[in-house]
Amino acid sequence: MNLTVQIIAISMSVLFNFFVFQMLKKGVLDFKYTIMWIFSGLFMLSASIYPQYVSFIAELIGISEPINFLFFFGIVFLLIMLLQMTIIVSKFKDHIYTLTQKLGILQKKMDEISK
Amino acid sequence: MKKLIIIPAYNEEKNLVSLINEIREVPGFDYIIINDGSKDNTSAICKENGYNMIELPINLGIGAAVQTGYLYAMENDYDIAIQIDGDGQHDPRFLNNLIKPLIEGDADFVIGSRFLHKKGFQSTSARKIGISLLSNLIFILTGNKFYDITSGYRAVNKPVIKLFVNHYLKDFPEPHSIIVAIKKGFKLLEMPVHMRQRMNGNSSIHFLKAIYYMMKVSTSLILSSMELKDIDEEGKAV
Repeated sequence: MNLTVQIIAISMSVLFNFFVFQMLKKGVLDFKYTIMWIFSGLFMLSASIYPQYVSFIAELIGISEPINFLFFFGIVFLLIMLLQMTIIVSKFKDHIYTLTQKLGILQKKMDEISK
Repeated sequence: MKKLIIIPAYNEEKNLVSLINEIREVPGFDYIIINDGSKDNTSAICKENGYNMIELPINLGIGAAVQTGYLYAMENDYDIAIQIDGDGQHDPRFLNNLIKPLIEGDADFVIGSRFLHKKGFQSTSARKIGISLLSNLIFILTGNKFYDITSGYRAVNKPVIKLFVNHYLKDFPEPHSIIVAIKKGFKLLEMPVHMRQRMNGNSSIHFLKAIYYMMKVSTSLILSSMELKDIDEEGKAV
């Protein structure tokens, strides 16, 4: 790998990891949902420091260009993350619906009591 | 026997007063209006007239609004719950006809059908084609033939109230709930009712969205008929 590319890759990985940890520290991100991002950040960092391992694994599974290996697994990883997000959003929607329904009924009871 | 009419209402300020007056002419029924986050004066009209109303702070959509009514019915120990749309297209004079099979124990879930006697408003032909396609789909999926599967005029007994509190599907509630109830082993029956063209306002399903709607509903009905096999394995207790 070209040294310039490697330097860019390493600094981007470091930046990414830094932001993830910052957000975790500030409590913007829930740890439960951050763990995948932490792992992916660490993977990015190690892959940019030791690109030879990426080439090695790519060759092992029959992908001749290491960058294609990264693209492929990057997309797979993003798909999994997106699916996970959809699951979480659906769950939250369900919770909000239930809460709204209960709130409506409670409000009615309150109004009846205060009459 | 305690009977509750559930009226989901979203922006129905023009229709509610006459609907409630009609309902009051039929004795023996309580009613609850579920104001689904209306942006018009629905809430003010209900308060002014002292109507029995649950107000949802945000708009959840018809399925979840109706489910709120079933939750209220369960909490207040009602024996029968009847759904009537807030837009006035369902004629409350058919209430007693509708619940007769429930009282006599012939059914757990009665669908008010405008197609059985072919009287009253019969819907547009485009919509009828859609309804008949979905009706056939439900027949293929469950082996039961019902005609007016998108009818929102329906009555259920206590066990089905409980089912709807737990399993009412929020996206396409009318055809969905039929599949859920059949899969759970409940007895469904279609009874003739007359419907009217909406008094005021527009229907929530526009013509242009119809094809997209059909695709979504079909997919989700097929999925739900499969997914419910898993629910059944948890045992029949809902």
